[in-house]
Amino acid sequence: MTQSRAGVMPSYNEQIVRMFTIASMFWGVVGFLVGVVIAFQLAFPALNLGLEWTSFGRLRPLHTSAVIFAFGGNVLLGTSLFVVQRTCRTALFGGPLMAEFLFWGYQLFIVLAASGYVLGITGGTEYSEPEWYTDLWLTLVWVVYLLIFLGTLMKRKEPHIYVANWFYLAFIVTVAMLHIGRNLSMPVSFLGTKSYSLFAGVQDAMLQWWYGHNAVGFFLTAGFLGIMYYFVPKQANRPVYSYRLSIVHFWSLIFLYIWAGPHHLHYTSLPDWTQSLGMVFSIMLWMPSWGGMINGLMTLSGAWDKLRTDPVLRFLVTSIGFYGMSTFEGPVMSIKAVNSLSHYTDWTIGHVHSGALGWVAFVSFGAMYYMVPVLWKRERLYSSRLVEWHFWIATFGIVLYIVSMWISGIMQGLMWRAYDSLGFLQYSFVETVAAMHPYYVVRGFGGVLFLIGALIMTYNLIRTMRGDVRQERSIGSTVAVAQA
Amino acid sequence: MNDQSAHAAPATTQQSVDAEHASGAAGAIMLVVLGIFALLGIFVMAQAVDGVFQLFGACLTLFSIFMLFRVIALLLPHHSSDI
Repeated sequence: MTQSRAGVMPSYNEQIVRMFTIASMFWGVVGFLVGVVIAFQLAFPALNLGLEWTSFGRLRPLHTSAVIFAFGGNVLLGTSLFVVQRTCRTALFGGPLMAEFLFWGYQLFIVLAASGYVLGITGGTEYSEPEWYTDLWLTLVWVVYLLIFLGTLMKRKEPHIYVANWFYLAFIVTVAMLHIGRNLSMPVSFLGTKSYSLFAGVQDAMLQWWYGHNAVGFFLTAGFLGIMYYFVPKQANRPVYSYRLSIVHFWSLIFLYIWAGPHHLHYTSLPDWTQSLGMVFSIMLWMPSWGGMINGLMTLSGAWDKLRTDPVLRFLVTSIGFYGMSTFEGPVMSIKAVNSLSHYTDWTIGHVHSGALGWVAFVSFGAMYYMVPVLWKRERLYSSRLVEWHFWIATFGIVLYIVSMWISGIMQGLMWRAYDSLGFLQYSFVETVAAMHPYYVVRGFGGVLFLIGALIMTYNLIRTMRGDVRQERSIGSTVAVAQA
Repeated sequence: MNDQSAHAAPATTQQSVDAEHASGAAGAIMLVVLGIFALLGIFVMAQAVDGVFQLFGACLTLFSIFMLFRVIALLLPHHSSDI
């Protein structure tokens, strides 16, 4: 402990956050790369290579798990440990032993899950594909995570628990509940990989989408809102627009989200009232989602000019914009009449990626660009110009992706429901697939651009870690000269 | 931003080392737990009924042994790395 301007400055465990940051960079590139491969597999099936290990069916869960749990998970774990120490002004509970077990244990979970997918071992349920032994391991790791986070909150030196920590805590607790609920299963043997769910039929489907939608709600939303509430004010050097609104945002979001899962099961054998319940709660989610988005954007009040000169802030603010757009689109798609067109089409894929690329990845990039100079004790990033290149290339990639999927998905839905004058289906299934081909190619190129952006970021961050600084003209300097 | 995060100054290298040094009691417990994991992994490798479960056992053993080394490194006085 040393004296600082504000009094006693606590010592933080920075090493563990550095490790999570490096892991995030690595898994991000892996996840985006596999995404690009499977996108082109859909356009050009020959890329399946005729091998079972490289087939779309095995690589698709590898992609989703790599980007959600490996990239997103490492970002969440790293940023949460970064934020909780600083806002509680204390080092992590459990010391370096628990923290390192958490890090390496989580990486082992990723390796176990990924190797299982490629070798054909899967529970077959979306986003919870790992088999029972991997699930048990993650449960153990997650309990350690909860202990570290809660213990740090309990020994905090600040009287108040900052709102970002509430979002992180909701993410940790709810993901634990979802993970255990969804993965209640019976192994066929204690020395083999196969297991069967305790649930069957429509109950199993309901449990799946209670899990699946809340994985979006609490893993990809609540946790990343924790990032937003810490890193946007820090990067903008402005207070949160309304702290009161952030509390209302938190409680309303976590209350409403947990009920929205049945909208994934419209027009199925799920009881009709349950479907309607899911739809209504999804629509109600507009309010907290947009309340949070407005709170994030309005935090820029008085600092909007920084967007011209600070590309890191641009990432963070654009992510909030994508958060607003995808949380508007989601409730629209949950309305039964809209869902009858959109469900099972590529529109859903486009929607997911506007959230995953635009919101989750962009807010993660912003947080990583903020954290790396702090963690490695550098004055600034290696190159702000490269951050700007990353921003524009990735943004263009996202636009290509979601626009092509909107067109492809809506066209697909309309072709499926088209009848001729005699009442027969107008198009065969294969005709719809052929019609989507050009959009699949465009989507693939969008993914390539996003991957290039991530590689630029990785290069920039590695050079920053090494302590290099690129000599370059500051962003916005031309404008400043012109104004002068 | 509220005043909690206003104190978010980066710690110095020396402070970070303090926060990253392990205590003996927790380390002893962890050594035992990791030892059990390593043995469990070996057992799974030997008895597994399919190849992927054998891989799981191998991963568990490797993880436990590497973590054992890491825990020992964290338990040693941090100046010892200067040797």
